[in-house]
Amino acid sequence: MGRATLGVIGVAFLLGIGWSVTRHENASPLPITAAAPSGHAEVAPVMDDVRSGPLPTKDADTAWRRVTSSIACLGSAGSGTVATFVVDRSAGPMRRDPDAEGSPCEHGPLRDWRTIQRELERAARLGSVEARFAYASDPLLLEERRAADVDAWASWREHAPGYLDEAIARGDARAAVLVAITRDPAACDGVSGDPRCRGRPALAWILGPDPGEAFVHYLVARTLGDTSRLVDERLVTLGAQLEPAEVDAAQARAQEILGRARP
Amino acid sequence: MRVVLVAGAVALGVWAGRAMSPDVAMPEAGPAPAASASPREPASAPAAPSGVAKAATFPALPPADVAIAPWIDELTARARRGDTGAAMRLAADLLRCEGWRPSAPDAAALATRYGRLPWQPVDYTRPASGWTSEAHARAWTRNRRAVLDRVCPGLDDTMTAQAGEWLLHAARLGDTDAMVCYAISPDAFAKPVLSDRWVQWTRRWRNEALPMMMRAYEAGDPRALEALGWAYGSARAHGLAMSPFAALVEPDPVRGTVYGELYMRLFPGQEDLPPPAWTGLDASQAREAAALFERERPRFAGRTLLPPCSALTWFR
Repeated sequence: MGRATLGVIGVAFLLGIGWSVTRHENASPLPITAAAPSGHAEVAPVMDDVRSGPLPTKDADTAWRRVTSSIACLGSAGSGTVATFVVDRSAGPMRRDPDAEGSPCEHGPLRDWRTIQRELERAARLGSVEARFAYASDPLLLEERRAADVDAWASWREHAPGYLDEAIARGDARAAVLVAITRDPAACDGVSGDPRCRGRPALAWILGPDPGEAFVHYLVARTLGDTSRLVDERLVTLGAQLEPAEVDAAQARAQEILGRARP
Repeated sequence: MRVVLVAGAVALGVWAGRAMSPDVAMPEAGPAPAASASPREPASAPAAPSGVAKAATFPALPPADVAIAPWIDELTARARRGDTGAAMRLAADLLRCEGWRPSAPDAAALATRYGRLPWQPVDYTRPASGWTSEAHARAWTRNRRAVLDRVCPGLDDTMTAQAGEWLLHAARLGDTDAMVCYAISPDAFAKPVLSDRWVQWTRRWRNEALPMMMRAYEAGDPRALEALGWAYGSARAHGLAMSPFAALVEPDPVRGTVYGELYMRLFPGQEDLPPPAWTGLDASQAREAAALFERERPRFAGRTLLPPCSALTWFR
């Protein structure tokens, strides 16, 4: 028997082990005797739709326009869940204020929030700059469906920090402020009227509190042109709380980030 | 000839792979063993979480709120032999000890000196009527901290991370409390949310939770009836936030209404309520609901209400 034959047999043996173990890991280890009976319709996870559904467009900016126009139309066309989102031009899609004005059109191109969510994620993956920021700041996923839509949330967790880093590197002050607010547990204490203080960003689940990093990103945001009261106040407050050495380190790190930025 | 050899190698590999799979080799193995000392105290008082399918042949569990580390080996062995009470005790104590660090060297002494609430039995649940005073709230918190300082020493993060696996083990052994607990609490046993651990746990949960809940339902566990009623209808009807479990099913007004009606009849004095009029459902749905109601009613005859998820009692 030649060496090549032995090699083939060896590879086949390993493939057999791999197939068997993988199959075992994927199988339910529980001998479930009572599967869900007919009539107990399970809700399809969001990501399953993403993988199996046809891609409606191939262009990132077109996809992003479909998302924004659909969200803008939800006020008049939608009801229930689909009406809970709206685009805030300064900060990307945000949760809709229930008392907000209706939108100007009757129906958007995408009427279902799941379709809109998929399109947003797709636009981001295709490279739309605005979609990436919007998706990172709010993936349009429902918190109460976090466990059921685990794949979609996991995908967002994987991509959102990178999208924000990219945005900051492009000189987008909004992304720097978003990171700062997320890292700063007291960001919105005592600040009213700033739309960026509507609730805690979903990013807080993946970017933990870190006043030093918050200070760094407030510095970056101000240098990139954000002159809001929120940023000024937090720079003063955090600057007073941090040790002088920490402030120096934060300034150095901000400079490093800004050095990479291309405003 | 070469084809035959390759096919044989694949078959041998499959066989070897199956032999390497832990659950195939040890179907009732449970989570990995944790190193610990042997028990120092005799079993005296049962403190088992309730579970419909709990085996009755095992000796009493250690008293509530004792240091659990010295009992780990015994509880582990018992759980692997099929003692669902031991598995649930491991799940509950390891979960509440997750992330625990000693409050202070003399925490227990301080708690004894200043904590005015009795040490045992400890009421883990927050007073429904709220705190009677700020001192009351402080003492309650201090008391809980003292309990953890007593229960948790000797455990490390690797051991406490196994809490969810023990819950699953109990569920697989047939404990319906564990089944319902697993199905309704995807976030409790794999913190923090959106961590790698959570993603891995939740992907498994997404596939197993509904069948697990249905097993508990078919065993006549009223906790499953309650959870299914809320999932299919009640939470949505009342405009409440959807639970993680409810997100796994589509709304179903017939099932939601029927489960709600069946659940209502578990309350004391409500057992003999007449069949409902099914208002709110159309004629077709009402017929379907009436048939489902009559079919399912015997399953819960004589059942009594049970608090959900004994493993999470500490956190209520």
